[in-house]
Amino acid sequence: MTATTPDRQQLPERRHRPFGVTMIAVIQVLSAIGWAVITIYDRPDFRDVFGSFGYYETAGPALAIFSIFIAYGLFTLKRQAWVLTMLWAGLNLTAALYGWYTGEPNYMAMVLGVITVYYLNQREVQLAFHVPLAQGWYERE
Amino acid sequence: MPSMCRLPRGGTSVNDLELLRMYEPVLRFTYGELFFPTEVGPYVQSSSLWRRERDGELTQLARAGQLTLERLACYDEIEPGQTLFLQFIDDPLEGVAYQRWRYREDRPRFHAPGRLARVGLASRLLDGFFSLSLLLRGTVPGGTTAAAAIQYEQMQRERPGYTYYGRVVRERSYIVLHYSFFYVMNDWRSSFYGVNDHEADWEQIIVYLAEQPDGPPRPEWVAFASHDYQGDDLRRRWDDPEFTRSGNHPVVFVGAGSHASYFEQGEYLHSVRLAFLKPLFVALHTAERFWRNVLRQGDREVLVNRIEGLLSVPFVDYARGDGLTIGPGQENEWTPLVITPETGWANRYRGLWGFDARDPMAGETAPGGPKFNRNGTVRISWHNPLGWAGLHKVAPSLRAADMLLAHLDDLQADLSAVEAEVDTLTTELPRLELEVRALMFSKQNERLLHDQQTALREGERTLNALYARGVDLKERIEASARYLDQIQTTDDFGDPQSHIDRIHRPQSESVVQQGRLAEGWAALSTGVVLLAFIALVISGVASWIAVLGLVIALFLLVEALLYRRLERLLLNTTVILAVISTGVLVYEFFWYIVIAAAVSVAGLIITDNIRELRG
Repeated sequence: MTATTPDRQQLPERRHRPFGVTMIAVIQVLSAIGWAVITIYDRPDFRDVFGSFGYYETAGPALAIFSIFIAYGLFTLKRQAWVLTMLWAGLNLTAALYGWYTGEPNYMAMVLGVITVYYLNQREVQLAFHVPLAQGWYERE
Repeated sequence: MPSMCRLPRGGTSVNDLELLRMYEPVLRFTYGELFFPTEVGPYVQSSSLWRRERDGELTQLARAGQLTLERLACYDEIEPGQTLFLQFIDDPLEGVAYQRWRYREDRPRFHAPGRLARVGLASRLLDGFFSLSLLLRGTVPGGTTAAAAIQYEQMQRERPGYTYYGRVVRERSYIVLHYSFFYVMNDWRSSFYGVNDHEADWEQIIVYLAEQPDGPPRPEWVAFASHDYQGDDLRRRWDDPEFTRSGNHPVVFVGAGSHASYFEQGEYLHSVRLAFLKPLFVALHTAERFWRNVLRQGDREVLVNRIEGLLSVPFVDYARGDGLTIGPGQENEWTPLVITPETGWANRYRGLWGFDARDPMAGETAPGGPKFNRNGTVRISWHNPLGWAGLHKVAPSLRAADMLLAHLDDLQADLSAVEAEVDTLTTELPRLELEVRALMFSKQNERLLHDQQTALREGERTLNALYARGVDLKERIEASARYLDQIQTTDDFGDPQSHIDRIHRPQSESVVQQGRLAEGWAALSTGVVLLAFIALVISGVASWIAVLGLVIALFLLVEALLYRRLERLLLNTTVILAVISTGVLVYEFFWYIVIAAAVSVAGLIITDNIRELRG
C-alpha cells in the first residue's frame, strides 16, 4: 500500500480587483480631494473642528495624504491597505456609536462604516488581498 | 464473601504471542512521568476490595494482601445500584511526609511553560473556577499520588519490568492485536496540571493486520485510544508518513500523567467544555452558519471555535517523548502477557480498578478494566474492535481489488437491467400515447381515457427516472474502474488521512514558548482581574460596570501586545462594532427597513412581470 501526498492547495494568483474595492478606492480619492479643498479654502467649520486641537493647518493635508495612500493600496490590492481601511472604518463606527449614545447620531457614517466592514470582510475580498496568509493573522497550529 | 470458584485454565496460542511481539509498540514517555505499565497481580494483591451500596454504605470484601487475581475474578456480579472498587492507597501522604516526598532530591523536575499563557483571559478565569470546583466534587485526596509513587517503586524493586496485556481477535479477514497497558495511577492533575487524578489507569492501542492466504498477515492500520476522539479519527494507515514506526513497531508518545496515546510528539491542548454552556455553543454555531453562508463573511480563524475555546477550560497533555522508552530495541524491554477468554480477572471482574471518588463528572473516579466500562458494560474496543476504529466499512487492502471487481460486476448487471427496461418503455410509451390520442379523438369513454393518460404519465416518469439511474450507474462504474486500475497497477490507495475528520495536532513551538513576560502575565492576570472587580464593587464608583469594561479592555490590549495579536484584536473589534452598529440601525429604523424591504420586493415583482410580458 502506498500513499499519495495530496496536492497542497495553491493560493490563487492575484486576480482582478473586486468592483466594490474599486469603489472604496474612488471614495478615498474623493475624500483626499475633499480634504485638500477644505485646507486650501480654509473653511470656517473645518477650522472650528480642528482649530481647537491646534492642528487644522496639518490635519487636512495629513488626511488627504492618508486617503491617497489607502486608495493606492486598495487599487494595487495591498494587504496593509485592507487592514487600514478596516481600522479606519472601525474608528468611524466608534465615533458614530459615541455620537448616537450622546444624542448626536451620524447615521450616514454608521451605514457607510457597516457596509465597508461587511464588504471588506467577505471571503472573496479577503482572498483578493491575501489577508489570511499574513503572519500573525492566525495561529499556526 | 463468595466461595472460591474454580476457573478453567487455558493455554496461550504460540502464534498469538508471536504476532503480538512482532508488532508490539514502542512507548516514549515524558520526562517526569512517575508511573509506567506494570503487572496487575502485585497491584491487586496490595489493594483492598470494597462494595458501596446505593445509599452509600461501604462494606470491605477483602483486605489488602488477601486478594489475588483468581479471587478477583469471582466478583463478577454487581447488583443494580452497587459499586465494586479496588483501593490501592489507604493512607495518602500528608503533612511533613508529603512535603518531604515533594521536595526530595532525586525528584525529576518537570517544567511546563505557560499552560495558561496559551489561552485567553476568559479561559483562565474558567480554569480558576474549575480548580475551585474540585473542592465541591469528589476527588482523589491529595497525597495519593505520592503514596502511590512510593508503593509503585517498591513493587518495581521486588518485581522489576514493564508489562503489556495482549489479546488477539480474528474478525472478517482482519487480525486484531489489542495491546492494553495498566498503570497504578493517573496523576495528570497533581503532577502535570491536568484535568484529573484517579487510581489505576487502563490505556490501549490496537494494530490491525490483514490476513493473506499465501503469506504472513500484513499490517494495515493502527489505532490509539485518546481522550474524546472516536471512530475514524482514532486510526492511522500503516503507510501514513506522519505515523512514527520503529520497523514494524508503532511508536506511541504517551501523555504525562494521563497516559493517553499520541501519534506525534508534542504538547496537546485540550479544552474541556462545560456542560451547562452547551445551549450557548449550539446558538453560536447557528449564528456562525448565518455569518459565513448567508453574509459570506470570511474569518480565517473560525471565530466560533475561538469563542468556544474562550468558554472552555484549557489543559495540556505533555507527550514530549523525552523520558523513558519501553519496547523492542529500546533501553527497556516488554514483558508481554496474553489475555485469553479464560483469563478470569479480565473477563469477569466488572468493578472499578481503583478508588471510587464519586465524582459527578467521573473524571476523578477510577476506570473499569480492559474489558469493562465504569458502569459494567463491555467496552466497544473489546466486543467490537473493528467498529471502535471505524473499520467495518473498510476493506482490507489485499481484498480490495477482488471486492471492487465483484462490485463492478454487480453495477454492470444493474446497468444492463436498467437499459433493458429503458428499451421496453421506449417501445411501449409511443404506442400508449397513440392510444391516448385515439381515445381523445373518439370521445367514447372518459374513464378509460383518464386511466390511460395516467398510465402514460407514470410511464414517462419511470422512463426519466431510469435514464437518471442509468447515468448514475455509468458514473459509478467509471469511477470504480479507474480506482481499480490504480490500485491494481500502482498499489496506491490515495491520501492516507482522507478518512480523518478531526486530527489532533500538537501545538506549535511558537505557541508553546511564549516568553517569560507572557507566562508571568498569564499567571497573574486572572487573580488581578478578580481583585479589580472586587475593588470596583467596594469602591462604590457610580458607573463601575463601564469602568470594569475599560479594565477588561485594557487587559485584552496588554494580552494582544504580549502575544503579538494586536492586529487581530483591532480587526475583530471592528467587526464587533459593525455588528453593534447594525443592531442600532435596525433598532432606530426598523419600520423604515420593513417598508423599504416591502417596496423592494414589490418593485422586483413588477419588474419581473413586465419583463415577462415584453418577452
